[in-house]
Amino acid sequence: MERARRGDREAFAVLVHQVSDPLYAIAHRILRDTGLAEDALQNALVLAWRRLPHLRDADRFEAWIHRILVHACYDEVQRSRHWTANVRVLPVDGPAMPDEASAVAARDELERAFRRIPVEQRAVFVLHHYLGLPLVEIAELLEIPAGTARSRLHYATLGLRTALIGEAAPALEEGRLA
Amino acid sequence: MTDDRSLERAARSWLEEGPTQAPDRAVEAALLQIQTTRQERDVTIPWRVSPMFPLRGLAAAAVIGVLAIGGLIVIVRPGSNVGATRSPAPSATSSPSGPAASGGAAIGPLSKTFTSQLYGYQVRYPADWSTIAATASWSAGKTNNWGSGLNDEIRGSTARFSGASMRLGAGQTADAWLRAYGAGSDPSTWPTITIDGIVGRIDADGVPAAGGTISPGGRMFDAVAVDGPYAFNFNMDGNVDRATFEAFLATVTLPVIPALDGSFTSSIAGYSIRYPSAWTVVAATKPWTSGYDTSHAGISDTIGFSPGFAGTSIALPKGVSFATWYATYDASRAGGTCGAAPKTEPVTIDGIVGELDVHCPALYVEAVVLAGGRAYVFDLTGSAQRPLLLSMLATVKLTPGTAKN
Repeated sequence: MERARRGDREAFAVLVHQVSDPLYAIAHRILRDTGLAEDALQNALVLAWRRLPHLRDADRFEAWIHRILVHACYDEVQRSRHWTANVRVLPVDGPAMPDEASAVAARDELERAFRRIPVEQRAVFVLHHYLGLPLVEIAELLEIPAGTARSRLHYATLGLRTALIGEAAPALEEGRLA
Repeated sequence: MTDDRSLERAARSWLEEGPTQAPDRAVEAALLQIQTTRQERDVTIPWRVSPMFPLRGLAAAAVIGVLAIGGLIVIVRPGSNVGATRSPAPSATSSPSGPAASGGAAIGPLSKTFTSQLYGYQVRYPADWSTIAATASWSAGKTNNWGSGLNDEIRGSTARFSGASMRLGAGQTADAWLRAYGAGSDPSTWPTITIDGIVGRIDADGVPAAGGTISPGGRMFDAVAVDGPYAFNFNMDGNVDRATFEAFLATVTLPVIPALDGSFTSSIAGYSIRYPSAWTVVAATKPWTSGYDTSHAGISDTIGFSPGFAGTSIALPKGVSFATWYATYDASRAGGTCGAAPKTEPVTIDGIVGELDVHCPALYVEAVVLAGGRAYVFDLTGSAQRPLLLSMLATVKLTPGTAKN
């Protein structure tokens, strides 16, 4: 880390290979689009390189680069004027059973519902439910009040629940999670 | 979908399904751009990301970048992985030309990452090599020969990297495991090597490769390391040299098992378990009394998420054997995300042998065991979580007499 802070590109390349997979996973879950997630990752990594001399506490690197990534995701959304129909291709050759068809429909509904949520709310939802970060940490990471983090999570959950109440609900309740 | 926890579990499961590996082109494009980007010093800049040239369309430049940048990856041994608590690894043995086969054929940059879903470690490898995940778990008494299916194998045309891991026996020390592995040879005489901050041993250092090697006439290197309750074995054979082996090992990250410093007792399902205390416990609110779906709201204790543990139990219906119940339960998995579970492996929980479903380790692993007329189901969602679940299961106490229903 110290070598990278001092401008050693080789040292930073090692860091990049350690963090790029989890960062991309987060970006993809927030943006729900492969191309946008790749661009967000690239921009975040380059910005992290530029800003690295400003990072005083190496122990904060992970939270620091997560913050950069989330802001890069915000920028990607602003830059893309419209969402493409990049609905995830579900791993089925064709539903063989009614339950399977319901599960597919439910997950498709989740995908669409999630895309309708503002990106700031999506980010909090992903940081909380995918990374497992407590709201207090999310607030600190994003430099927002804890109440704001809580309300973003609340509205994200509310948005998903509202979108899912209806025909997809029974499938989600009845299907196995794993 | 009126219950938030049910929604959240479904959403977490859905979030888990996304990609976990960054496309090489994205990383390479960033590294390429960094080569010509200066760091900022003593200036204040806003957080906003300034528009940059798009990733798409950089493919040709990235290829050139790989040639320029990729080579450095294999000669720099990373320190401890980000966020982990291991001690930093010592400096690598530098090889100006990077890893090279003993016959002189260079091995490309270790630009891709392989994650062992069964064993939880990661290693980087050349982009033109192929991977074959282990199909069964290595355990005491099993020999993980090449082709046994117990090793993850990463193959080039004339060289191969293999990896496997097993949990130490109850009460077994690292020294005892190494002695058993050495089968009469004294492990203390083997050269040491550091793997992800753990001091291991090289028990085969360039000896002629045994039968079954990927490249007859080649050599073989074998290293072992014990990290907590897990022993790891990494091997290379074929047209390889020591520098190549070390270059691969320098990229290995071992699974980090968090301290199980919290304790939870399920008053409804009748068991106790230790877990990372930072994880949030949500106790079941009602017993599991029928059916085969443990994801119904409130019938499972849940601890943490991503990874997230869930545990529950059900009293077997009168006159129904565990085998019969389990067969139906097993069949019910066919409707799940990962489809049917074609195989399981034995797992011992509180002295009782049960079934460990490892057919979908990228999403979850699940143990089912019978005790006191109850079927217990414990699962851990998340990618490559088998080592953590095994560690948690080793702390489980089954108390079917205390279960409710």
